[in-house]
Amino acid sequence: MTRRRPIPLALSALIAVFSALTALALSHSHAGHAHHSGGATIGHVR
Amino acid sequence: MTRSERRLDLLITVCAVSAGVHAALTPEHLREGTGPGAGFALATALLALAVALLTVRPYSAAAIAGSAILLLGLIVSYAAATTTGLPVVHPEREQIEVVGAATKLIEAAGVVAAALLLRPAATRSVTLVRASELA
Repeated sequence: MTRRRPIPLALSALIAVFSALTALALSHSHAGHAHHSGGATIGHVR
Repeated sequence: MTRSERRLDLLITVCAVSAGVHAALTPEHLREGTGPGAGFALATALLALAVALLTVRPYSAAAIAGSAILLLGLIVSYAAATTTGLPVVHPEREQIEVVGAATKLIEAAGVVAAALLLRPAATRSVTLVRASELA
């Protein structure tokens, strides 16, 4: 029985890039919402 | 695909997701101060190292345990930052928001996957597989 190699490094890098883009999109949309609501949201964006 | 293989893939994916999120949020935290920025940059570097180690040396107990400790450390740091603040790195209390909370949930899944991989039964099964490979 042969063990399968784990997911390739290139795929991990791709996952990291998509996660980074998602985090940026979410944090910027949150920041935009905070700006438009006159700072009425909870705190700053990470 | 065996359970161990799925858990290892999950652990690598979790580290990659967390690395991406920490990398994306590093510039923003650098603007807050050197402490938070350096903390995020260090977390990114360590998570990238964990991904590389887990890929190059899959089923290495040290790599799996190190990744689990790193993810657990990030969860504890976030919990401290959002409740009391972290001395030096993030003295002001951080507000809980969706990106941070979701990332910590994903990291928690990685810790569970690592713990299951490190269970004696899992180790035994890996040993048996390795032994069968040698035979």
